[in-house]
Amino acid sequence: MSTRNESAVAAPAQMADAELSREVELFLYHDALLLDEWRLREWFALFTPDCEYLIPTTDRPDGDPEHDLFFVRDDWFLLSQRVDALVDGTAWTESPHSITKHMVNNVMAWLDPDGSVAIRANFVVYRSALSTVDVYPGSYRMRLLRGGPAGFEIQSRRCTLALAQLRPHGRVSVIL
Amino acid sequence: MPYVIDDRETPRFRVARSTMVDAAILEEERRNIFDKSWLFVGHESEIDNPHDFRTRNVGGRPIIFTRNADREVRVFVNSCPHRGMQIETRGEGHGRFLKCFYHGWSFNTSGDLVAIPGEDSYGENFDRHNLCLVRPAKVESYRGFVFLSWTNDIADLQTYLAGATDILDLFADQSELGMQIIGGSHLYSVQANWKLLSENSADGYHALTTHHRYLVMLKESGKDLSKVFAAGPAPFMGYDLGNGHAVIGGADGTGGGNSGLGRDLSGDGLLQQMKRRDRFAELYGADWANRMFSGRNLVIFPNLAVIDLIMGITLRTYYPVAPGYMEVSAWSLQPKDDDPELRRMRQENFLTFWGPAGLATPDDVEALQRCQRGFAAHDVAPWNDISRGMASERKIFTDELQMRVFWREWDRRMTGTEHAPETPQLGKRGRVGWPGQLSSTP
Ligand code: FES
Ligand SMILES: [Fe+2]
Repeated sequence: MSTRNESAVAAPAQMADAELSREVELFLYHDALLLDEWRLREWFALFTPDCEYLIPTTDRPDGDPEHDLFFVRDDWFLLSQRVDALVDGTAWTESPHSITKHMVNNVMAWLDPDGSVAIRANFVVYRSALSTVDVYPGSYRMRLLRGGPAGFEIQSRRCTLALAQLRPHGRVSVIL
Repeated sequence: MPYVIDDRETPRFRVARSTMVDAAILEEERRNIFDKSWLFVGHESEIDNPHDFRTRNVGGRPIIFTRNADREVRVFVNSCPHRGMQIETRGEGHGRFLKCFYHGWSFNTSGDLVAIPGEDSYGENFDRHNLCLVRPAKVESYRGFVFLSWTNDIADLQTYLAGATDILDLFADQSELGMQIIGGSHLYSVQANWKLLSENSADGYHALTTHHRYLVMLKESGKDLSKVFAAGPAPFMGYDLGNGHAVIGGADGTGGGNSGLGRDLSGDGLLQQMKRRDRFAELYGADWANRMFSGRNLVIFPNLAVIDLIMGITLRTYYPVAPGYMEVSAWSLQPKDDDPELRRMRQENFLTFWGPAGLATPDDVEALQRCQRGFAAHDVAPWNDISRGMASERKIFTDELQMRVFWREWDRRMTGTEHAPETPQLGKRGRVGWPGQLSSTP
């Protein structure tokens, strides 16, 4: 697990950095494109080796993964396993792959003194399979590092659902 | 047409798929099963302090689960005695008073009506005591697990739980300070009939196929899976616990030394774990400690599953909103006194498998939903087959004894048909004398 827990990042007092926010926005569009095209290995390559991928429960959106129940608490290894199964078709719940659309907006970014980038953004993920459409609204908190072919790497990705319950969705089987 | 065909000759056990789709059957289930069973409310640790409360649905009715000033556990119908408003809609909270905002009536956590705006308009004979919060017919708890019954006409909780009490002991014994449900809930749903989750929660047969990706993850993490699936001296078996309750579980003989379905513990965590095991062996005997530190899937009739994968215990209850749709609520049960390293591993193992975004549960959800879709053809393809292991003497965990135990009780409640038990039922025995104890295994 990464030592830096995004839940501990306080809401920044200053306005977001306009130029940086625009840059990050394009990065998130790229991220969303890879997810929607199911190019998950390319997507996974955006992560640092000490990364974390977190989804708190609907009733503990500000939960601490050390003490509270979560939906997802992946480190690099677990995320790689999640991606592998989604790609090779053994994640039955996504076999065949559902149709998804990741919408990203309200992107704000701040440069931290250590050179890392803190971001906040909103998302809505649509997932359609068989006769159902599930909608997952929520917000991203991420910690990005400069580097990699895409310009940034993801060290921490916390996806907080703006849902009171996971009903009638029943699951989060795609990556948010 | 019968719902259950329990043919001991062939042998063959079949269940009518109509029971999964028929709305009239669901109405009968509400009357004959949910209104006549002990239903799980919550765990005492969820309301540690006086005036803590949780709200949830139990048996289709909204309830408030709280603790009064005298620390007594109280369960109330979450509906105002005045004109019915649901008083509390937050999932959890804390407060000395439960206040109905509609007309401002207030209740204390013992359920007494303590304040009414404009009480003088009710006349001299008005008695507040007639307007307390309504309680379920019965509320009892066993080792921290709180249940309610909507009818008075029922045996006491321990009698109802029968042999399941021993299995609950195997969970409750895991901490000398007590077990606790940690913060956060998995509130999800499955678009399938509720009985499919009673079946699935103790289905050892589907693990290798449905949970292929989870097992691949374990292998990639460096775990020796042959150790997990090795038939030890007392391998995982299925047991009928009476009254429709069943368990699959065992004593693997290693006492939890990284033998369970979780990623291996690190050196430090493993050391801690072994220390705990030895302490419990001292307290309860080596056999019991061995059994405690092995895994088990317990299903308490009709709708509670308590499952220990070793390092990750889930408590899960579910209720049908419609024949093809259930709401599921699940929590994580942990020892209060885990050190941080063990707790971290426990959290991680829990989430890796359990929950609507784990590496396992979503595939269960998918499987159940696809079964339900298949049942649309129940008129031309009317039967489920649940015969596995019926022909053998020893019922291992990949057999389907535990599902037949559920369905025989279900059929008894619904049609009055008495089915003789297929294996001896294990009543409460305490911490001794379990079949397959290391000391009694040939
Ligand atoms: S309905 Fe609660 S005070 Fe009137
Ligand atoms: Fe499963």
